[in-house]
Amino acid sequence: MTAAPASPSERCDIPVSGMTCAGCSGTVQRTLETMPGVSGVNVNLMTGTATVSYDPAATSPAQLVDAIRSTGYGAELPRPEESPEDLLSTRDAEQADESRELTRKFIVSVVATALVMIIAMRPGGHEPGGASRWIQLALTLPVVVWAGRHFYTRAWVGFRHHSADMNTLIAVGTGSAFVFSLVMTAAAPWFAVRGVEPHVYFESVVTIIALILLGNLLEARAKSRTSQAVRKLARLRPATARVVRADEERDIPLGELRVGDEAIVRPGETIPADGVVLDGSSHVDESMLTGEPIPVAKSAGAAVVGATLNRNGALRIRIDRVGQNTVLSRIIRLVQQAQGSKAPIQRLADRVSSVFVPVVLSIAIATFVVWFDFGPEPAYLHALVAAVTVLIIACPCAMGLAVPTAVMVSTGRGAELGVLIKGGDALERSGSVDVVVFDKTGTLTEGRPAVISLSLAPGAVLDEARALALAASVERSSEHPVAEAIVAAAVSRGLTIPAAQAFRSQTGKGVLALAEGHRIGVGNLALMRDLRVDPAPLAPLADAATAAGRTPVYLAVDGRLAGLIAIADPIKAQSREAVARLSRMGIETVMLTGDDRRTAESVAREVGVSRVVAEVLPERKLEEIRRLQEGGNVVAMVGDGLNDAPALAQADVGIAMGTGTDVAMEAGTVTLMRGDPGGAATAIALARRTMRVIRQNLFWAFVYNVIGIPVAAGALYPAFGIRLTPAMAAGAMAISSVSVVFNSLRLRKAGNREQ
Amino acid sequence: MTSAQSIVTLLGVLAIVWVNYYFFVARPRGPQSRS
Repeated sequence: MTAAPASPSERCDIPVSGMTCAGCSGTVQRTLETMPGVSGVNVNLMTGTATVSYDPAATSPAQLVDAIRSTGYGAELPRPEESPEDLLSTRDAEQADESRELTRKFIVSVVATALVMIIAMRPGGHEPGGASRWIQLALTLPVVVWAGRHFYTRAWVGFRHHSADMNTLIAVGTGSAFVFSLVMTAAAPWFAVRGVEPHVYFESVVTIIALILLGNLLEARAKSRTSQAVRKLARLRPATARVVRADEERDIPLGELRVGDEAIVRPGETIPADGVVLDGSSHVDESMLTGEPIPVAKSAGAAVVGATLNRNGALRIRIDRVGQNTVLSRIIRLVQQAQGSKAPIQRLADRVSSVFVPVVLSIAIATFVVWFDFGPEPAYLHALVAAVTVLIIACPCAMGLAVPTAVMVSTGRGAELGVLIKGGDALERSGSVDVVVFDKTGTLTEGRPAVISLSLAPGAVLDEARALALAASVERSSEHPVAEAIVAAAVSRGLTIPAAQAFRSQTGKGVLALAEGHRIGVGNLALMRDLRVDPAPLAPLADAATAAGRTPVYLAVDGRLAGLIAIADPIKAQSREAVARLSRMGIETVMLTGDDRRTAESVAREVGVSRVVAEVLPERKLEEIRRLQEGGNVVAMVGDGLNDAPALAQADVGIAMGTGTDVAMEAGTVTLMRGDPGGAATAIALARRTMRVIRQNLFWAFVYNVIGIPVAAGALYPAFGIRLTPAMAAGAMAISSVSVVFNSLRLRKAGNREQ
Repeated sequence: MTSAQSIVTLLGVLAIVWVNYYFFVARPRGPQSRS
């Protein structure tokens, strides 16, 4: 759909109002595409926006807006300073207006329909020359001219652009019935003289318009519910923040909050924006953003995210990001973009819709001719009714709604589950994933090595705490991950770490230093050999540690073996369950790691991954993914989004895993808001379910038309005498589009069960 | 077939041809191809 821009192009999102079906968005799309300087257009029916890439030298947003308005739809210039939340509330207000307007029109047409029906059904209602036809006309006129006016104006505008949509069908259908009835009413005596009994179809006209308005109304309500997830997110923000200014605590509106402000957050209050804790400690409930149910401990120096809930302690925080730059705003923006994007499967629906209406017009004309030539008397009446019925039943609304409603609901639901799926394309690909590749470090494991055990050499004169403290004193000067683990273990046990002198690092072996008068060496077997220390007493333990995937680190004090520290990257608690869920879903799991084979295999065994590719250099991860893809697999890669970026990009679905609050949200096609690899299974399950709903929607929309059109044309009449009335057709059409929307809404309840 | 039927049939065929011409053949194309 979107051609690559040939010249430097800019992009803008224009809010478009009044679009009700795929045909409408198609009209706007085609109009914009024919404009000079426009290189790409994506009109989204659900969000009511046109995203246009254009050459600023050739056109401007104002001209684009004018072009959209010329098609009969409303458009406004985007206001750049608006945050996604503001845009959302603007759109909410517009939708509410549209809803109210539709309700008014609907009520008026229902009243008119009831009155027209009563008059038409009354004995003598169809008598020629009676006043009843004139009363019916008087009641129908406001419905056609006011309540149904937009059908006709939009159909006319579309017609001028050589495009036809559902409005065309409604306008031609009701319009021909109305004009026919009008002529019959006005020229009744003229027809009576010539032996033609006058018939009017005012009740069909008003019923059709009332039913279609009802369908539109239900659709509008359901559509506003599909964006509930985003609205829920937007509502998380507090209205005010308590800041310290001039040594005084003051409540200010959130909009006045500035970067660098110091805010006070009391227990039970919502954190106003992203920042860093300066003072105080508390637990913060981040479940609304990450889906992580357990509150996270925060103390001085910890990063906090706006819109999360402070639980039990008061915090003083320095605000780092406000407005559009906050994590919440970024999430909302991502979700909105995702909801507005088109799934490739949509192209099928679009292509069908674009040829559909002219084909239906042709079928309606053919229906008229066949009934006129071969139908029972009065043939012209049957012909007219059948043709109008075909036009009305064939409205392609259900087809237009089938894909976007499902994409919208499921991406919103994903956000609630802490899974950001970037659009319809990502959904469609995630749904067909059959191999999930996990990066090991930081994805299945915590990514931070930790001391698992410490064993003392037989006959050592020091205790565990002392051994750890001495090891930490040497390692404190090193930046190796193993060193960090040892220092962290000493710190967490509250040990006093002595100062070390004469620090030396032996690359690939370990470190040496003097501490409290002792010569300390911490390192691997090679270092022990260099120091002429006999590792034999602890060798069996070291071998066992290696077999279990741990890294053994020897400690030597004054040339004698003192102890053995086993270090490992602990496996995340949720990893095993995540892999098990994927296997239950029939998905093969692969672990990709740069670690040695033994460590990798031990982790794989523990987690349950079916295949391990170990000792892979970071740049070769990409090749591994490609190899899997060449084997005909659809591959998802789960990684941390920073080191794995090339592999994530190569995979069919790149799943970037966030760690706590700092999420590289832009890195993957899917972003997991918390460090739980189970999110990959959730994302794939949700995508599979969404694709199933989309297929159901498309199937029923097609089947509805495939069955409905021939029946409306009278295919069952010769054999069974069954005919539809235009009003029945209008009812069927309304039901079909509403049922599609409700089918999509089922995704709101999609949990994280395997599908 | 009566003359009215013949005329309606002829008009119908012409209408179908015109509808398809108007919406498919005479439709203005954008500067880029729409796949």
